[in-house]
Amino acid sequence: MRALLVEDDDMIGRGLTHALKGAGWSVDWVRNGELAHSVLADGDYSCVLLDLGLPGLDGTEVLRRARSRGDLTPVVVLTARDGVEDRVLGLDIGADDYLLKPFEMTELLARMRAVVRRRSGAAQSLLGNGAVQLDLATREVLQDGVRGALTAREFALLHALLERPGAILSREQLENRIYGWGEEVSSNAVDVLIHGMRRKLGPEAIRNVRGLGWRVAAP
Amino acid sequence: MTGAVPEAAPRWYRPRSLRGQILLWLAPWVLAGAVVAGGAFWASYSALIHTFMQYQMEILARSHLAGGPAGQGDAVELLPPLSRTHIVEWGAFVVQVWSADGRLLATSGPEIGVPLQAATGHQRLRTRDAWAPGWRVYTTSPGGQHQHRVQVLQSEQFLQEEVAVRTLYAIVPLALLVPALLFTLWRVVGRASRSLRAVADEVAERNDRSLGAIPMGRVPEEIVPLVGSFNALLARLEEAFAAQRRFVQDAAHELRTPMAAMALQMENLQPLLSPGDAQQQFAQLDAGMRRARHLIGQLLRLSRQEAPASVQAPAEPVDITALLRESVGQLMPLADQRRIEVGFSGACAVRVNAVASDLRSVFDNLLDNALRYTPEGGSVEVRLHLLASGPAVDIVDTGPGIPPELMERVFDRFFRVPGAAADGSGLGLAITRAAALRHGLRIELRAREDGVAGLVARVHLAHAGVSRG
Repeated sequence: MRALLVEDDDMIGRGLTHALKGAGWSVDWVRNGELAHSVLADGDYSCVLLDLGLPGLDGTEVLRRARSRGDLTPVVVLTARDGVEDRVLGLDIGADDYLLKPFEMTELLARMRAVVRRRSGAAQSLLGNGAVQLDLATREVLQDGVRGALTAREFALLHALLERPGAILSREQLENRIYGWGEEVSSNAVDVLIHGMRRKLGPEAIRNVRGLGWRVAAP
Repeated sequence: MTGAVPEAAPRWYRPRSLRGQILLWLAPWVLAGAVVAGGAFWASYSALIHTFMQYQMEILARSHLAGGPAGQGDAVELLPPLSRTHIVEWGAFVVQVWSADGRLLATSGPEIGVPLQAATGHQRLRTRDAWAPGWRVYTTSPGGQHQHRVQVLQSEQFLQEEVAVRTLYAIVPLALLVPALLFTLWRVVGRASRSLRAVADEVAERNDRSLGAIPMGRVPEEIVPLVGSFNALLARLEEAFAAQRRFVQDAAHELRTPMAAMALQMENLQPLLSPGDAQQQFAQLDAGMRRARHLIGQLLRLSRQEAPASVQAPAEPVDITALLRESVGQLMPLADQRRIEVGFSGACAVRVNAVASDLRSVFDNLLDNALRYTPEGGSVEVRLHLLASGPAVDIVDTGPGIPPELMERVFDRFFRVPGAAADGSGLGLAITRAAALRHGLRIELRAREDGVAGLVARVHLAHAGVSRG
């Protein structure tokens, strides 16, 4: 896959090019906005990594022109600015994702894969945190390469927890996600369900935080 | 605020207050004026009344001499006697008619022992009578048919009293004016100093977060230039504060690009290292790198928390339990890594009117500290409970605690408890306090009271806009 890197900082540019090549990408690196604009117009890239603070033509302007031209190439913005308004501006003018410097290379690669996949129309069908994954298409659970069937409520439970891995969900929040409107819920229904899940997936799969609720480990 | 300036103690004759000075200077002048006015009135009025009375006495004497009984020998028509009251209090003229050989033929004041004066004309004399010791006397030369002499007397005491009373009437209004004048001055100066005090209060309310101009509405005209220059100073100060904050933010932002570059180079370097010593050294380098990144992030957060509240997002009701759930959830990886048991107990539901991200920053930092400083295998307990003063959140750890003498200093930027194990930036609590201050929350650090070593970080929610429910 080809990526266009727009970055004026030499050290970051060299480092990123090297790391991206190591990860199997072929990289074109340009150092200013004007060049990025013209290269983007006739190149066919799977992904663009765009620094916003560029000399000459600003990164936001490059992005705005590309989008107004109808260019739908996925763009990940790399920036040192993390004010809320900076982020909103970046996403408003059509960035697909936003990564704050300094970043971990693994995270950048994951996000690049994600925006490429999203753009190609393949909706993400796996939800997971590394230890446990949920196949949204088949409604099965995957653990260590082994697939397991789930009941509708077990699926709803894992779906709720894996949507935001690491976050704690209260009993009330889980009940709302698992049970429908007007459904009679016994007081220990969630406990029973989680107890069953732990037997299937191991005691560490779903963790309780006393007084607050349950969570799965963050990726 | 002026306590540090050494000054001589004020003496009574050199008062420090405007009010005292004005009174001290004006009161003697007004009093002296009253005395001079009284003296002048007394002198002019007594001259007037004496001249007038002398003239009256002459007319009376002459009329008695001329209209005396004719052709009846020495027999003189008796004059009606006057009482003492008439003579002393009302100033009635006493007429004596003396024969040519010095016998008293008739008198309207039989009790008066004033003899016939040898000299004619006006005189003042004293008698031994206690009820009317002083007299003014007018004696005619012999005249009329029988060469009688007439002597007219008037009580000196009456004349003196008359002058004194009139003078008093003139002085009393002036004397009344003195306290009225002083009272008015007292009030006017008092009012002026009250408005000065109001200005002082306004100034006292200013701090690095609120440097708005002082309203000029009720400021006396004389002080307007002072308040005006003060407002200009405030504006310059606000600019300076903003510039300082901008500098910290810009510096932290600018640092991010080289940090990112270094991080990338390190990631690229790692696979090239042979296992063993090189990898170990690399791990050290990586840890240092993470620490520097953490510090830069904290600096940015601090500069954002210290910006004036107006720059920030609007406040909204925040459910504290939900917020704590998010906060604990985010820090659970650290808790798992350090094998620390985290628990929550909430005795009540509380909503606080605040900016959610600021509150998060308060609890995230306190929790982060608790998890970092508690030894592995310890526990951190979060409690939401009601105190007499209102709802509060306690974050209770089993760490080493903080020596009492350092309890206040730990909120200072870059301060770290000496000998503490964790490698924090020293900014966490400064950020916490800045965020808490914006919302009127109070943070209190105290040692645990249940016999277990550890620290209680208590966040008082009472002063933020709290609603229960």
